[in-house]
Amino acid sequence: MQTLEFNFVQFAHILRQLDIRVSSAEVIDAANALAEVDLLNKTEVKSALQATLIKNARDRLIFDKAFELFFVTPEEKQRRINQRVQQLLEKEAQMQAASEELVWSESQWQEETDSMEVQEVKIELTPEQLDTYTQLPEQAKEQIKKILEQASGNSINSPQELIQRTIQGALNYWKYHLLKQEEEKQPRLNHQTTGDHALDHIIEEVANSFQGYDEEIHFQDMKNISDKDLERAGRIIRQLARSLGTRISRRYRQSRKRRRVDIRRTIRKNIHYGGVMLDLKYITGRVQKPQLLLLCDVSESMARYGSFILQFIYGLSSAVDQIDSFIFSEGFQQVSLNFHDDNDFEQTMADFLNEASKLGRGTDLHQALYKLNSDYRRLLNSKTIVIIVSDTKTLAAEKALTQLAAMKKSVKDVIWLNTLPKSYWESTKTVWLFSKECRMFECYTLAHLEKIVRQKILG
Amino acid sequence: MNIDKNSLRQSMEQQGYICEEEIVITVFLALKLGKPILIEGAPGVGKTEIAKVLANVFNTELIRLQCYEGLDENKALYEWNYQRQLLQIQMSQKLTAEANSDGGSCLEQSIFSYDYLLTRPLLKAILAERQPVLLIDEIDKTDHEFEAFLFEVLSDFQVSIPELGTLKAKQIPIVVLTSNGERELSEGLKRRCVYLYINYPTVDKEVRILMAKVPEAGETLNQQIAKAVAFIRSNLEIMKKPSIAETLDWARALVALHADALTPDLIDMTLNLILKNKADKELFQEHIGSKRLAENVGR
Repeated sequence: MQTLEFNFVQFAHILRQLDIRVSSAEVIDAANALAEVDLLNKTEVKSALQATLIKNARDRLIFDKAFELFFVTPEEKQRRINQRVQQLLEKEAQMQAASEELVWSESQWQEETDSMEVQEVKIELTPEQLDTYTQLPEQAKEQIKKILEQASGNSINSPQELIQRTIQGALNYWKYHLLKQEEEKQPRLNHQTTGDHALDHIIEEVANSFQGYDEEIHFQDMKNISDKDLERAGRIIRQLARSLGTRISRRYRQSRKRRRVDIRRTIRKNIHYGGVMLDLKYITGRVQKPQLLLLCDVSESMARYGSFILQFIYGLSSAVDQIDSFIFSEGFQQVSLNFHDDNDFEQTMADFLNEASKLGRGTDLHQALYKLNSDYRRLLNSKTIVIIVSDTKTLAAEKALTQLAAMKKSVKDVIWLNTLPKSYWESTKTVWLFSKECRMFECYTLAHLEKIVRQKILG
Repeated sequence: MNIDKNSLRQSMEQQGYICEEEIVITVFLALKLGKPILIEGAPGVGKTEIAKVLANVFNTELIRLQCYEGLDENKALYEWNYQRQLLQIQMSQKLTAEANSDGGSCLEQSIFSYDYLLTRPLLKAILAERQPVLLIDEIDKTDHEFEAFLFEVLSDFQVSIPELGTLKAKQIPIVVLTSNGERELSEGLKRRCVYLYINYPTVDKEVRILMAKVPEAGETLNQQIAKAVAFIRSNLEIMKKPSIAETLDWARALVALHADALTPDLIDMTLNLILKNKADKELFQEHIGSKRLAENVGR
């Protein structure tokens, strides 16, 4: 029989797998807290764990769900574990069947029998790729099988490797596509399984049933914000920008030099005390408002991100010295935007998207950076912060990197707002490439945007 | 600390603080574990009130440190009364010149004594004879450097003043930190605290609060007020949602106007008490309006 401590540590482990930071010190606090409450009272136990393990209002939703699933009767727990094991066995059987379906027939001349012999060769796929295949719609599966059939029987030039790569490529594309579809249906909660069915069924159920946070629109992928929510999103953006802008717009702030006396001001102030330094004046730093240069990718899927981000940045106009904005996809263009009239938000968005669509559907960052470095050199100085909004997928990435490196030498900072979720970064080569020359942050929700602007740009 | 949950709950209710079981348990645990309590939530939901209530419950002093951007050690912990020291030096110089003696070392000792020490809230809490409640209000307004300084103070409850030596707390204060969530607090600070999040109240809870604080409004009017405020909070994307304090002000204003029910006219007259922003008021008129609100709460 599992002890209370064991159960409780398992629960803390589940929270960690659901991307909630729980330190050992907090686990000890929680154990001490449990010693002070009635363990038969669910409310008290829940309050004790919540107070010591959860230090963030947003994590409470995840905690609530995990708590309800974990603290159940042993019978219910066993039933769920059995259900999960059954699902895994079924999955394994599906993958086995998929592995047997994805075969290629190779014809080879057999000298002994003086005839062509047909051998079935299995395509080597990773478990992940097989899993993707099992999730494909029937039509897509048929297409893949057709490719294999057409390639079968041709033993010239050992096409096995070529066929393998073709199938792997197709499955990788589908993996990305299916993930995107899932995310569009509901927000994705970062999680990791442990291999222990007793814990994994809870982790996966919490992650799969996660509906998103209360203020959904803040945490929704910007490109998924529907047209009917545009007005609301616009208001939220203006509120966020305004509250940030007024916080930062003070002309002076306390110097971080910790009470260094400003001799000149002190002397002037104390003249009427006969030169006795009765009233000390300290150095205060004048707030340097940044100059921003925005470069937004407005290719097919990116335009909406660009329009929200531009709207947000322009809302900060009281806290920023100067804003220059450019859009690019296959073309490149400077834009002047009028976001000052609150009522025109939807119209301005519509105009912006219209403008963006004229530049083409692909992405050529190299072209855009080259033009900035050559034709708009006067805007690139030591006070300029360049903000690039893009998912990093561009033609001529290496050339773009060279231009970026050259630009970085002339400006104060280069910040890349990457609309690609962080879970894809490792498998996207261009992310790794560009992050060498700039500070890159995940930014596909309004919450991301607000945090980055507050901490990295205006902080 | 010798306290049990039930007596704490009763004491808090006696002080007029209406709250859920979760809040009582969390405060109880913070007291039992001897840890600071970090309370987060929107402005006006009763975060600061908890500190005041605890001070009354334990019949002790409430020491308040109001945080702001730029707050540093000198304003939070202690500072030498520089002007007084300077005047003392000036006067002593005159006296020693007349007496023709050298009082240098005595003077140095005296101007660095407790008489010349300006004790700010943190030091006051450390030196208190009786266990005080130390309220560090709106900690999210300070910067990371101040937070780091606070770790030190909250960990050991002692401070080293070079001229006076190390001063240790005689009684560890009950520490309450509040935050409006304007910025993310550091993990280090959160780890050292017991955490409590207070959301806007439910209609039932708000009615109970109104009945406790503004009983003269009567149950019917209080019900309507609570429903109206809940409706505004959940149906409007306004910059500043009405807080509990504003709800209480609204109730008092309606009592002053001899209202016994919410009518569209009364709502129009008193809207300023719950919506403190021109854009929010316009949004209210555009999307809800006083007539619809009155109809909604009248049901």
